[in-house]
Amino acid sequence: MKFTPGLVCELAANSDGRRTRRSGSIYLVLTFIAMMSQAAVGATFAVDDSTSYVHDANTSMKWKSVAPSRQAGNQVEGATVVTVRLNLIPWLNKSGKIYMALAEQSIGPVKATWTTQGRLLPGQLSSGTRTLVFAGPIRSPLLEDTIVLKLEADGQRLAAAQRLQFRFEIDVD
Amino acid sequence: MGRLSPEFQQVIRAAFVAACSLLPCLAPAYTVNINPGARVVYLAVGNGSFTGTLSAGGTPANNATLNTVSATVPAIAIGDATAQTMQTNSTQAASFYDGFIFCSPAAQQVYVGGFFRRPGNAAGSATLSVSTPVGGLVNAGGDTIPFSQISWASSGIGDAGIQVVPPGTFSGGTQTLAIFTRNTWNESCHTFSYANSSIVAAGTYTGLATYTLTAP
Repeated sequence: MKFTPGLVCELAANSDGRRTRRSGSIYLVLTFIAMMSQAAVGATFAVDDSTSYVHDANTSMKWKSVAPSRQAGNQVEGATVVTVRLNLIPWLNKSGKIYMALAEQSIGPVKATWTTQGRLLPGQLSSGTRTLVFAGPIRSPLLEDTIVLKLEADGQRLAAAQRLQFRFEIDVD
Repeated sequence: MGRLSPEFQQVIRAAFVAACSLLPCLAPAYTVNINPGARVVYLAVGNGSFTGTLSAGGTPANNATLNTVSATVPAIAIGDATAQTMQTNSTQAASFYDGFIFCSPAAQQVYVGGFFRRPGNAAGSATLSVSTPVGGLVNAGGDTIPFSQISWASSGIGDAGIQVVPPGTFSGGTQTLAIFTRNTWNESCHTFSYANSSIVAAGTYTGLATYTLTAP
């Protein structure tokens, strides 16, 4: 839904004097919010994925190779399934690029690779980077897909459970 | 509580929509907790087992076979200090790492290999040791031959340089043979020989050498 300062003006014009005074502070807030909303164009914002669901939130990593190579074979890997639900209401009918990102980790580089059902783009990323998962006009308030997420890390540095917090962000065109 | 006017309801709706546009700033992210890999220890001396091959995703398996090495010294040569190469019934030629023919059972080589997996960055390597009876090899009459009469050479087809499990001689008791760096495959082929440096009573002398890979 598009929210513009013009809407605020219309509301003020439709109100009597008493109501205008009562809601004057609200209009100031709304004007500020509207300005913030306008600022969304051409900027990067975090995307609300609070209803995303990780099917196995505790993933036991296994050695990538059951037995190591003659050199060192320290990589561990694991996989889980994530139902991604992105709340795109703020950018409905706009166009943008959505990225999945993972911050740098204390256990060193973590590589994530995923496949999708088609709503999002498959891809891969390393911790500290982001990868494009969607580009184009946003025509639905909710973008949902189920991804198979494969993770790879250095087994020598993964001594205890590590929390990987993925995030999504949008670049609004 | 009275009903809100249409204008005020409209303001509330507008505020709600506007607030939604800011919510992403507080957006949570999905979280995956990853746990370390498991500890694994594997050692094969002589015939071992592996389901499939490592390169095909195989896994180590148990093999209860006790292989033997033996030497029959001709009566005329007993105690003449001419080393006797010991024959083995081990048939393990291929490395479980990649199926490469690493040892030659036909040349009486015994495969010795293994690894251990340990997550985390704590220091630590696995220790390969062997224990032999202090009393030596024993025959039916109770006569003995010290285990120190048996030694081994170490090699591997295609290998050059120092072997992971180097050559040595049994000491009688427990002795360390090698240190296995974690997350690394280690293997060598051993060819045993009997020193034959002393005259002993006739008979068949036997003794058990037990190899142990100890991981921290």
